[in-house]
Amino acid sequence: MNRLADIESMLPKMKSGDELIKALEIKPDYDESIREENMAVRLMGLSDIYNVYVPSKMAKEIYYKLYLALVYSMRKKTTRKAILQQNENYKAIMAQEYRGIIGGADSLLIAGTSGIGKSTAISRAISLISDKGVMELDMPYSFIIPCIVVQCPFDSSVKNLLLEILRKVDEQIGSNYYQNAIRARATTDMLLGMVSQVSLNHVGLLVIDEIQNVVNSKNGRGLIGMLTQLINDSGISICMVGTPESVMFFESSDYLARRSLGLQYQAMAYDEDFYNICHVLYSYQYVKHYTELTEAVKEWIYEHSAGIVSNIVVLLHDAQEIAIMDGTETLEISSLNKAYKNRMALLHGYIAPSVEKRKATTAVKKKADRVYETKEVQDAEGETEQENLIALLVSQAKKNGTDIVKLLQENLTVMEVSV
Amino acid sequence: MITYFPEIYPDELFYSRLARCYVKAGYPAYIYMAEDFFQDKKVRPDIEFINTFTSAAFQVVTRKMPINEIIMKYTMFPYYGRFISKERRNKAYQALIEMRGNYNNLLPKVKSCRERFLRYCPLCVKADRDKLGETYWHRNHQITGINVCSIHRCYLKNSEVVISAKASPILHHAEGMIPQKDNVELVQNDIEYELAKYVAAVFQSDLDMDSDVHIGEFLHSRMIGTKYLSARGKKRYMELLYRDFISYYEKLSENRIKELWQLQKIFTNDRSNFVDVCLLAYFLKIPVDDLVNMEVPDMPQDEVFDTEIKRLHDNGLKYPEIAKKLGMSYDSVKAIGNGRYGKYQHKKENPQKGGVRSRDWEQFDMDYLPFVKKAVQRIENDKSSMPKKITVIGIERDVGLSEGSMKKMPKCREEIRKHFISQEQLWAKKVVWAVQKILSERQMLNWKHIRNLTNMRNENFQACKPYLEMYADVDMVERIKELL
Repeated sequence: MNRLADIESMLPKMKSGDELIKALEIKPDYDESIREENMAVRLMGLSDIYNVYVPSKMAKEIYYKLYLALVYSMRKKTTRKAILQQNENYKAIMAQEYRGIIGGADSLLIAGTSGIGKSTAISRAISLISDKGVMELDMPYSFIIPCIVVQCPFDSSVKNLLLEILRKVDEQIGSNYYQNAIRARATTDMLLGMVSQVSLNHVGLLVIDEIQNVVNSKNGRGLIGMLTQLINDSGISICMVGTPESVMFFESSDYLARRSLGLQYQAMAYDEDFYNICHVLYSYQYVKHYTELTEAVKEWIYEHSAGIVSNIVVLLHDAQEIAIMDGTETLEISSLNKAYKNRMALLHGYIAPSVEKRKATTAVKKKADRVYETKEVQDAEGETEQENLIALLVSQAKKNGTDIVKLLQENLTVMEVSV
Repeated sequence: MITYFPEIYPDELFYSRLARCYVKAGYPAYIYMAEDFFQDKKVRPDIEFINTFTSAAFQVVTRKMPINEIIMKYTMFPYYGRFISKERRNKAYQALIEMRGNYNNLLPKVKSCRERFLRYCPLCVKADRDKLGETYWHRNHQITGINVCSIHRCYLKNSEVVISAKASPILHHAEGMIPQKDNVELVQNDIEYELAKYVAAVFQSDLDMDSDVHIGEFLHSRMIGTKYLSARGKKRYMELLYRDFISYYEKLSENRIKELWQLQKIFTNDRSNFVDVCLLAYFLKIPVDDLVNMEVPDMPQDEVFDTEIKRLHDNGLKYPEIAKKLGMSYDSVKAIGNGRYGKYQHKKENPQKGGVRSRDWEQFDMDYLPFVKKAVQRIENDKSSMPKKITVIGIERDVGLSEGSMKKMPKCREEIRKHFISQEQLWAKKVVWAVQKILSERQMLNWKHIRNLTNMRNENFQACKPYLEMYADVDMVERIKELL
């Protein structure tokens, strides 16, 4: 007999180390003989690159965080306070005065640049955590969904988000909550009570994607306030996922910041994680002539992807596609460059600045890098100092009749571009 | 689909479990829960028993506990059904299992001009909230006639939930209806508390559905040896019993028995209210186990007494000595010794002497058994007339015995009992007979003709459908079901 008190033992065991990596990664089957096939077959097979998933440090961290959030949420359901909260939530549904008793479990924010793979990492983590699917209990008779993922509405509408949660629950367990809410013409307060109750009964972890939608919406604070109340009234863990602009939103006040402690990720550094991904993706070659991954190619890929995984995948996929279609049949810098120029033109403005980030190759630039790095840790006062420096150098050049560019190069990082 | 149903608490009313489900499952309004659970969404939830569930709800409700266990342990059936006749008890039980509403007609519901409310014990409520986080409606607190908690020795309180057929259809959960803080009034007199414990113990005991001992007989037999029953057990001293009974319970806050005739009706099996019976049983100091597993002596008291007189007399004692020994008058003892009292008669030492010969019932039973068997078969196989029930009275008439003869013929009674059928089975037999008659006479087969022949009502037709297969083949059953 499955009891609510034993819910924690019903979860899949937490993985770690190599076992975790193996469970997270997705490597479609690849046979080198495909390179001998005709163009159509190879082009079709090429799409497997999109299915490759190589877990990084970020993926592991996300898995641990989500798993622990889920466990914490499940434990809350077995407490006496959960029973008290169920009765309070009923008052909310009946539009009576009520209070939050159970308190929040764990709420966190996972923020990162678009394309670095956080949604995929979350999806992989969720699929591991929800490995056993919906859990059916006997005492009480109930169903528990380990994880539900919803999207934050574009207009930050509270009602829409609450209805979406009910709809997702209905999808998983076959209930009629959404239909009943619509039929009852529930107000937002009633809906909140319903969703709190449903979440307390049936949901372990709620993931809200695209949370950055709250930033540009006038109702954004209201939505976050609703989520706060939902946490307090349901005791479930909530994970918000969004881009870095949502970080600034949450930083704007302490109660928001408290609710959004979590993980922030940027584009990959030129490190072992990046090498790993490159090696794995590069091994999926569908062009006739196999090429090895060299250091130069790695560097090139890094520079032209800004360390963003989705860009790497697009580069390697489209480069091979172009190479197959135009008959060059090799995956090297020339085909990669064609892909970058023709297929990723819209991203050029976002990728180009990443060239600064790699190691300098000249002494001047080394000094410029050092100055740049020093500049990075300066505060706003430092920026003013730099402006003064430029003015000083200009006046010095005028006075001495020296080349201003050379003078600037000696003191600052200067990039010359062709016009 | 129903996706949440709370676990049941100890001694919880099933109504209370449904109410907690309504509160906790996230329904925005009661009607949605009613649609999920009840076949008729507008039905008023039955507080003391169960309503007809939808098939999905029935599956959820009986997932871990069969319906008969729910009825026995989580409804008020043991209160209403314990002391009524076996036949009535089983019919009501069957009606509850099949979720038919006519159990209300079979169970002795208390008619009172006072409104009844769901009740609670403030200290039980506190204990529930401390242990479970919430309280619920306890069965023990709903026993009409007992106003005291059998655990905490305090008076029960009325909630605002009225138990009435006119109440609006809604589920009231205890946690929402019972205040957080409440006064506690302890019971001062011991009798009220001890009685509450006694009644609760009887109520919680297992109910023997096969017991066919009548409560009147049982209580009468338990008065043997008391001052309320004569030595031979044929005369009850009701006045004395009534006086002592009323005096014993004068401090009770509620005692429905105020008149002698009410007490008398218990002995004649015309009054089987649970608390009334318990009051009398407690007064007579009958242990709970004995009341719950009622047994009557194999030999009636008068026979025991008469046999004892005969034995003493056979051992050489004279009637005056016997009278003195047994505390009876000489005339009574002599009359008994001469066999002039009651239906019981001594077997004469010399059976050749004159006088009315006593019948050897055992042999009589054996002799008549073949006739009884033939009569039963004849009645069962008679296709010329409408089927009828095989009853003791009917067979007595058929074989030419006087009414009541078979009381002392257990073999014949047993043979007849083997052929007992329920009312629904009889209806099914009648329907099949009617259809066969109509077909043989080449008349139009429709349900009007069937009704004219059998004089049955539509609900009777519907009730007998599950039994048609016992008396007809598959094709005929299908044809009949289409008509009905």
